[in-house]
Amino acid sequence: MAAAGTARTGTAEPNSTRPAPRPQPPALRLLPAPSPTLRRGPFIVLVLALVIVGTIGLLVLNTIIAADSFRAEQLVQRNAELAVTEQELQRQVAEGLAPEALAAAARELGMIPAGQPAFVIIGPDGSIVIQGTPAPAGVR
Amino acid sequence: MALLTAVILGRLVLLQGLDGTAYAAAASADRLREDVLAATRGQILDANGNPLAYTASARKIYADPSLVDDPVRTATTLSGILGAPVNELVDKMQADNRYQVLADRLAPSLAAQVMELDLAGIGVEVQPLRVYPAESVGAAVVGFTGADGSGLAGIEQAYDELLTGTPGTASYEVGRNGAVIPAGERTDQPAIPGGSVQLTIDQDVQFHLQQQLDAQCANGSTQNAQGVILEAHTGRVLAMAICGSFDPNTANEADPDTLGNGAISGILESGSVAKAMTLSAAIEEGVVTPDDVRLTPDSITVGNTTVRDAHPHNPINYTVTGILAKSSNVGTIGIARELGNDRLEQYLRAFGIGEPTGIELPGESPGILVPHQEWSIAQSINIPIGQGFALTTLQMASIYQTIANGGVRIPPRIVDSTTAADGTVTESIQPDGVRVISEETAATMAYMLEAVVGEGGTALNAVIDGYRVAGKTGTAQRPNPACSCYAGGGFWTTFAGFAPADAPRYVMSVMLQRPDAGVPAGPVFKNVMTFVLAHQAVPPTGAARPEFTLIV
Repeated sequence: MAAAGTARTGTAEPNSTRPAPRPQPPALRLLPAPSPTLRRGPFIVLVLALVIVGTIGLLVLNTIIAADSFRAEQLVQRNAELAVTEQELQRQVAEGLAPEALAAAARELGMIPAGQPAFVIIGPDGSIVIQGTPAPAGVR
Repeated sequence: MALLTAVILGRLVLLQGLDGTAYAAAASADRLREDVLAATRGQILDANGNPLAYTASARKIYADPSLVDDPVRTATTLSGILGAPVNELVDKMQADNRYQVLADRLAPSLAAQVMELDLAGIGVEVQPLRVYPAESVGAAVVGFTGADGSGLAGIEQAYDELLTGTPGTASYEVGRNGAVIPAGERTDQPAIPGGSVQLTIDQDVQFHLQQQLDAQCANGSTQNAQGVILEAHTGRVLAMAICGSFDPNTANEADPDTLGNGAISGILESGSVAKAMTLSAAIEEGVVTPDDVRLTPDSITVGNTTVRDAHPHNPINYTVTGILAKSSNVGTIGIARELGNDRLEQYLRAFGIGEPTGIELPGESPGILVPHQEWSIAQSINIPIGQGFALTTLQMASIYQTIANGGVRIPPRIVDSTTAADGTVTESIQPDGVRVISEETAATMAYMLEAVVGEGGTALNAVIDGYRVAGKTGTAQRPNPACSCYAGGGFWTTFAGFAPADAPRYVMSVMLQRPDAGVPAGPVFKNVMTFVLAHQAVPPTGAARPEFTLIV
């Protein structure tokens, strides 16, 4: 119909005062009826597939998230445990480094304070001067 | 029918359109939880990075008595682990409230043991714990924190804001049972941990100094002992201690009188240690030179005040060096009278007397020095020999730091640097030095002070074998607070000096407060300075001690 209309206006003379020729009636014909069995089947399958895939996907995603959250929780817990261990070890180190603890540990090993050192001073000419009085630790 | 529809539609519009946001907010508020994330308090470190204070996470075990089904059995089980008597625990578990702390400051592993027992009504709580691993070492400097974790003394107080940090928040959505919704909305404002403070203190030297001071106080009659060690050329504090220091881990149980830092807050009259200032002023002003001779009797009377030398003697021709080496009161007062009160006061103030040093610690005393216009006759003859004005043990060290540093006083500092949570280090800036005496006068004073320590001087007990040492002894009467007089107040014996005398590295001041003047402070100086020189690897200069002419 549209094609016929276009043809008609296409042939019209713009300045013509003659009445337009009577339009030819369009040639109508019967189209074949769409086959319902052939068109609906794939669509339903498609929708169903989408629904199923979507549901399963959602389920999988949810499961993954839940599993991750369990894992995250475990890791957080493990992290906390390790932090506690680290802290206790650090505390041992700090306590061991404390001067009082070091002094006590040294005493236990039978060590004594070094006391006052004596010094050997070598002059530019190779001469030797001893400053202080050399003595074993614990004597003075 | 139309009416019903209108009502339903109207209600719908009302709920969804107008009140909707309020309901949504209420629902989300119901789901949202907000936790405060505590900021970990920063560390306090010694000069070598050893921790003097840090914060650990400890555990607190509590009982809810209403949920404990068998107090005796529960207490018996816990007693062994917590190390608390059974009857005490039973009493707590039968208390008439719902929260009883059974034990705190516990190691997390110990708390875990308790929780494994799965006892009804017993719970565990996290508790931040301030730990001072070196215990009493440096306690007076480091300070301590209160129950709420804020600093109450020392560096903990002075740097409280930096150490505290900024707490953060965590908000997240929870389900009905309180579990976090995995994909829920979550906003975190992380806590910013506190910064750390690094001191100039060396904990080994600090420990040794404290041991020596404690040994003094342990002799039964010494009531107080203080010591300060400074780096000669920077004024940095290597150690600062008082005897009988508290343990900051248990500061709440300590005698409140022991919690201060007397080395900066307590004042003393230094006695003859101050003669170094009088003579510095006289030499700088050209009043005397070291070899000038003064005929010195054993007493001097001005107005109705008489001052005597320590030992009676016939008039002696002392050199000025001899006056210092023999610590003659009469000779020093004579020189001070030539100098004049105004010039003496001017130099005392230049040496830092009467003003706080500005060290980064709370509670510093400026000392006491009244203007010379107000000096009585007694004061004007006592001040030159170190009585009648007061200073702190830190200021006493600062005087000798000035002489050791070529006449430039550098106000002492105890913080090396601070480090913010993001790692930004802020080094402390050394304060501008104050030129008190010329380099030449300082060298002259170092020479004269060396005459004190050794043959012919008063401080044979401060001689360090192999090293040249400069210093000065002091003894001062202590005012009796009960009568505002000197009777019964006891004494301060003092020593201040530096080593090596000819290339100074470390300066130290010592004060002992005693009922009698019988124990000198020199040996404490000798013992600690010997340790410092060895510990800091200071070699002797190798030069011989000069000859001194003390008497002509």
